Formats: sequence, structure tokens, C-alpha cells
Amino acid sequence: MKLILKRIYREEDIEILRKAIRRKYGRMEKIKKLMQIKKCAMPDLGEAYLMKLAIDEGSGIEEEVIIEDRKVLNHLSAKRFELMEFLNKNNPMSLKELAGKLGRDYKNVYDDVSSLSNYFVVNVIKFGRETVPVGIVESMQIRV
Amino acid sequence: MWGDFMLKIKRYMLSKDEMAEAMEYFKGERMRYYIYSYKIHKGRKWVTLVRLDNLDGMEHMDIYDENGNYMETREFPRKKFDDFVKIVKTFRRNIIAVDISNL
Repeated sequence: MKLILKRIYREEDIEILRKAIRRKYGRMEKIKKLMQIKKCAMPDLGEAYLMKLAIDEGSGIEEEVIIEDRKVLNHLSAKRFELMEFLNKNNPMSLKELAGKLGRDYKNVYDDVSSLSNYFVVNVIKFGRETVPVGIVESMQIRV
Repeated sequence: MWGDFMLKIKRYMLSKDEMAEAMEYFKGERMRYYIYSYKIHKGRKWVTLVRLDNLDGMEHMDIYDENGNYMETREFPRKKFDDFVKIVKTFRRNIIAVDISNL
């Protein structure tokens, strides 16, 4: 079994990614300098560099997630699809805002997002103390 | 809408705790940069064990221990991501103990 998910990033999502990278690593010059010093010692840095380069050059970002583990199906439910549909139709927001707009308990929303993000069904960005789901799911297929 | 540039991310989840990840940066049809990683989920974060990339203009492979500490860099010929996934699926967490550069 394979679950194949395609996600795209809107300008609003890319802005969140930009802010998160800036907060963690600083400006592009600093990232480049760190890469020269650290070389390959910090693998996350190379990823941040590529992401920042893409953002600065105004490129699109698209993502495909292929999940071979059928246990992922245990993480899907009607309530969680409802949450994903809501995320698709709205700008990125913190889990606290999300819980408020959905009229649901924060802990349940947190648990749902954590569960889905284990398999990158939802992609979240840690932003200081906040967790923000980013990107919209364009398609999801299950192949047997 | 986005012009010529595109960042394509591909995540191949072998389990909840293991994935092969590709980040490929394209200008038009041409891939300028890539990073292919095999990562394990440890504690609350993803730790890279093996990484292939051409960020500094040279194809190479970096190897890290299970805590994410850098161990060594080896020469590694260019591979397609699908081939990298096949290697990862074969060796899983033992990948750091195997010389995969000739595969």
C-alpha cells in the first residue's frame, strides 16, 4: 500500500517559512558564512540554505510525500479530514487560532495535528513557541 | 506564477521514524542543486544519517552518527533519488556501516 500526497505552498505559507528560517539562522549572508565554517557538520543548514535560496529567488515550492507504512491509515479520521479541509481553505495560523476557529478543544486539535504531522500528512513549522501548519494538500491517493 | 525556479521536496516515508528526503532546486528543466537524505526520527527531531548533495559544486556523501554528529565525507557518484531510495530501503539504519559508494 502507498499513500501519495501532493502539497503546494502559497505565498502566505512561504512567508511563514521565510520568517522561521530567518528566526533560526538569520539572513542569507549569515547562512552562507555558517556553511563555509561548518561545511557538512550541520545538515539542517544546507536545507535551510536551499529553502532560503528558493524563497529569495521567488521560486515555487511543491512537495510530494509517499508513505509506505500502512499504519498511517490509523492516523486518518473524518474529523482530521475536516481539519485538513479547513487548513486548505484558510491562511496559515497557529494551533491556538485554529482550535478557536474550529470551535474545538486546543488539546484535541494539537493531538490531531501532531498525529498527522508524524507522517507529514500535515507539515508544521515550529515558530518560537508556536506550531503553524503550512501548505495545502492538493491531492491524496491511496494505491493498493 | 513562480517564474523559472522551482523547489521540489519529496519525502519517502518508510515508517513513522524513517524517511528518505529529496530537496531538488530547478531552474527551468535543469536541476541546479539537490540534497538527498536518509533521516531517522529520534526524540522530537529528525536526525540525518546519510546525505548526498552538490551544494558546494561537488557530488559527495556525508555520514553522521545516530545523534546527528558528523563522521565523514566520501566521494559518491550522482544518483537519482529513486536509486537512493532503493539503497536506503535495502540497508535502512545499517546504511552508515556499509560502503554504498560503489552501488
